[in-house]
Amino acid sequence: MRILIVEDSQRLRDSLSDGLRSAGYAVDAVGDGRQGLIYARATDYDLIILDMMLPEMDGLTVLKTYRSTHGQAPVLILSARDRIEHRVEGLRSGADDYLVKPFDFDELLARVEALCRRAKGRGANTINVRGVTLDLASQTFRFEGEELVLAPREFSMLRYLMMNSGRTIPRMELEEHVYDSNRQVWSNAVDSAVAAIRRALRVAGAPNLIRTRRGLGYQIDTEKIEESARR
Amino acid sequence: MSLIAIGLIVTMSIAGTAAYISAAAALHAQLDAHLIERARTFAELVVQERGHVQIDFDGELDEDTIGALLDVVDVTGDVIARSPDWPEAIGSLPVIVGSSTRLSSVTVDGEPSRMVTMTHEASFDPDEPSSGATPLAVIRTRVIMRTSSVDEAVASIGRSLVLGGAIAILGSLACVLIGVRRGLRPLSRVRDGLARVDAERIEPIEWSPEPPIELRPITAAVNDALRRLKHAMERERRFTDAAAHELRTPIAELRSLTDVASKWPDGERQRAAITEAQSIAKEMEAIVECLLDAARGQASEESVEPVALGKVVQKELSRVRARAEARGLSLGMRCANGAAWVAPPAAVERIVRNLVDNSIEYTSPGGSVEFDITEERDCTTMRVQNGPVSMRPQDAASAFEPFWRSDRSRESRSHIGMGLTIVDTLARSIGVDRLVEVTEDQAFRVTLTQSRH
Repeated sequence: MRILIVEDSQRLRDSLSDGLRSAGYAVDAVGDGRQGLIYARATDYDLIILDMMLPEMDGLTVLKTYRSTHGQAPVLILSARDRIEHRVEGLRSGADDYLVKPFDFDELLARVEALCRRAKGRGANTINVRGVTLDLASQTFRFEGEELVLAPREFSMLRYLMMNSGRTIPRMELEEHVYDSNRQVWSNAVDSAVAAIRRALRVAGAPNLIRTRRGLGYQIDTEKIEESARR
Repeated sequence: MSLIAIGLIVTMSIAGTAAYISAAAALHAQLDAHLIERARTFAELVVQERGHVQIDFDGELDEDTIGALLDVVDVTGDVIARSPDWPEAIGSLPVIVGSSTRLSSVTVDGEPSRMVTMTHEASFDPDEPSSGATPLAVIRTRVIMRTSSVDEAVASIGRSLVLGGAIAILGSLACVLIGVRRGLRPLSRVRDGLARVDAERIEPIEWSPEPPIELRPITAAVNDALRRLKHAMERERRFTDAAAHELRTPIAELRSLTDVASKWPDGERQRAAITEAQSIAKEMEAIVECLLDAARGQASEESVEPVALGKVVQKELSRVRARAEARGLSLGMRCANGAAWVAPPAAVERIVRNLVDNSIEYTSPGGSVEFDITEERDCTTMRVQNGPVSMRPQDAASAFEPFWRSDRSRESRSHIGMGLTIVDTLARSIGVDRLVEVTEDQAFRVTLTQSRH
């Protein structure tokens, strides 16, 4: 899942990027509204975190312009403005959520997860595919009660595949949603990560969930997909 | 309204009473004049003929015939003529010699009446040849007339006045009530317009239809006041938003740093978080100091004295010379001899310090900062110009607002946009006029002028 942060405070930008990357997200971060709009239009982000008081172009203008050009990504406004009219104005301008600064990082993470989940049309916070369970709340994969050991990038890729279960996902899309613009993506990076995931599943005794669709991309084997309603 | 009613009733009552008294007095005076005239007529009918005094009147002397009661006696008390119904109670008073006319009130058969008593000499019969040898007899003529008709007329006038007065009062009250209501109707529209003013969204009132010409100065003043209030509230909101941003952002930075560092503990990350936390604490300290500085500026009560501006500027420029050189900025000052402001020295120093710091911070590398201090007959002006800066001419209007920074300068956290606010506050408190300009060639200019008046 790839997130864009548009925030003028360098420190906040850095710590949010650090925290979200540690939580398994690919993150791009910019410091002004104009750059933010350019990034948002250029890439298909899974979520945009947007400050309101920005240099060059204020957050509300960025949001309205993005929505007017059919930008679909969920937008979470992160602002020091706490008045009701600001929240209402932000949400009515096309934002999906509004969080007032200062905030608890766990709350931000929970909102990010919820927005990403809803954007993929899923209400439940766990996804079960043939015994392998993705718990979005705790950000873990389990098989028969045992946690799968995955590197952050592999975790991020399996999560993206499982949240899009049943759909064939091209390599380009996986690159776009799992790697951020700061990382050099080698030509076989996606294949290597998929191989590592399959290895981890095998070690845990889990079935191989990922099917290769030659020339098209990868797909989660949808046989026996279940969603639990544990919230 | 009740005051108008009371005033109207009192005025009408006083006017009615005065009219009643005047009318009654006039009628009674007329009655008295008529009575005297009647007595004089009878007196002239009394003649002396061959030593005998008689009245030259052949008719009946009763009240119904002559319209009054008559009594004529001579000095010995002999009755010469008397109405048959002359009241006994009036009696026969002695006749006093000498000509006189006297009016008095009497009661006849229980009715109030007026009586005139006239003492005079009887005239001679002009046909008697020896009349000049006999002395004239002194006689007394008394005539009584009942006043009931006059009293009835006075009472009738009184009733008319009371009735007319009551109708006039009621009519006047109704007219006043309608007039006042019609007159105040436009004021009700003003009241309704003011009642519709929303405290959250203050806007000048659109008066439709237009108020009468007499009320237009009031409605214009109301709208002016609302515009000023709106402007003040917008400024207050801008300040609150900016303050919220400037104060909450460092707290958000701190929380985010510490949350991430504790959620994913890592030696390097935690060390970096501690270093950043220390920087954030220093910045928050600077923000608090700036806010306190602005508050102190508003409450300046130090004693005033002439402060040489050249010396203060020179000192402050020396303080920042190393910083300016590091950024490739040139510093300069021109100062007229003896140029000074009369003000608390500490306030002048804080103004100059903030101007210098602001100039050094926001001038692009390679630019210049120039102070120009001039003295004219009636004022002393300090002008500082620095540039190039990343500001547009329209930004000048916001430069004194708290926490205001141009877009580019927002990237920097070393200044929070309070320096010029402090300059503005302090300058205002020492009676210095302020002017901010941003020229087309990106020069930022602050002109501060103290008049000698």
